[in-house]
Amino acid sequence: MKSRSALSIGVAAALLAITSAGVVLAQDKYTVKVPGGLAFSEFRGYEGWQLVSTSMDGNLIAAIVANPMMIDAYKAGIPGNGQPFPDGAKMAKIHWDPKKLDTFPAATVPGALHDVDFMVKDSKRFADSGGWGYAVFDYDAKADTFTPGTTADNPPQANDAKCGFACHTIVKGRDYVFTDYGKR
Amino acid sequence: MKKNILSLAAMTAMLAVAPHALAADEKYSLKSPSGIAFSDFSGYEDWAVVSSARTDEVLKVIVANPTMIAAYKSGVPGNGQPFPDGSKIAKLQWKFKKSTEAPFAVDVPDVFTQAFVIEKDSKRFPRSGGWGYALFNYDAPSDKFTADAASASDCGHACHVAVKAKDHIFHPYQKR
Repeated sequence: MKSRSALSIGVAAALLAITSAGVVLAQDKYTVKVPGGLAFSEFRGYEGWQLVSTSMDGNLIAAIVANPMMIDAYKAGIPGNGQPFPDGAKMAKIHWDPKKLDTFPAATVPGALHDVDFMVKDSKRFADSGGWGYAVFDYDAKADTFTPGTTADNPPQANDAKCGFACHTIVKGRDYVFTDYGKR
Repeated sequence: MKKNILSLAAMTAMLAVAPHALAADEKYSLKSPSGIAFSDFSGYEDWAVVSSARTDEVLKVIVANPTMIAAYKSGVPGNGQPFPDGSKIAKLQWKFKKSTEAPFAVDVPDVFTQAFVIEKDSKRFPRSGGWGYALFNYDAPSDKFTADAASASDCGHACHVAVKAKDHIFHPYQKR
């Protein structure tokens, strides 16, 4: 009886050790936030958003995805029709390091995740940056953690939501959005 | 008489609107030489992203239907399980060009060229690992899709046998 209790306690302790180790190791990315800027959680669900387009940014492979509201706006002709994206439109650009596909070396495919960049339209909240808030989250594949971009990044990310504004002003005529909805 | 003119006007208006509807209908009336209907993949335009890729000629995005995305998320094919019947995946290809606006060196899609599509139906395609393959080409100047005539199913099964252990699918679901 006594040994059984001791065993149970031992098992419970082992389980606790495993559980708490797991909790400590795994980052909840949705708790990450740019100081003074956007929170990762504002883009919850981006993993399943629909495709806008793809690109090669330098040597990084990118997929650009957007939430249903923004996809609907694209399909309605925005921004080519001169209309702005509605408040609530959100998009994400996912960057991966490139690698050769080992089973088909002519193809370069995503290796490790490099960073995830976000834009959200809120014309009141981001009135001083064209109605868009911007954020960059760098991914560390070894630690499996996201951290907000910094001023050392290119483009630099300060403690605000304007990291993309300077660059995106070039496409002000398309409501600050570079990426067209790719024909498919 | 007046009524006829009105009808004529209405018909003309309808005809003017029709090309868009026709284009979509036409696309989904196509069948590959191997008998795979493009309409089996209806809605692929809105599927979620699996991965992306590039070669010297094209940029690609791989998207899959909800059944297949759910399978990926549950660990298929890395866990040794096959994708379920009803899984569908499409590889979309674009020629690319340099962005003239981006402040960095960026290649972006130019014209859309092809949709490679694969669907799982283990009863219908027992001799090719349960997958049916088809290729639909897109011609930008005429804004028309055609079933690729040269190949029964692109490289299809012959190529994908290289990744038989991954249930014949090259691309893993990418971390994001």
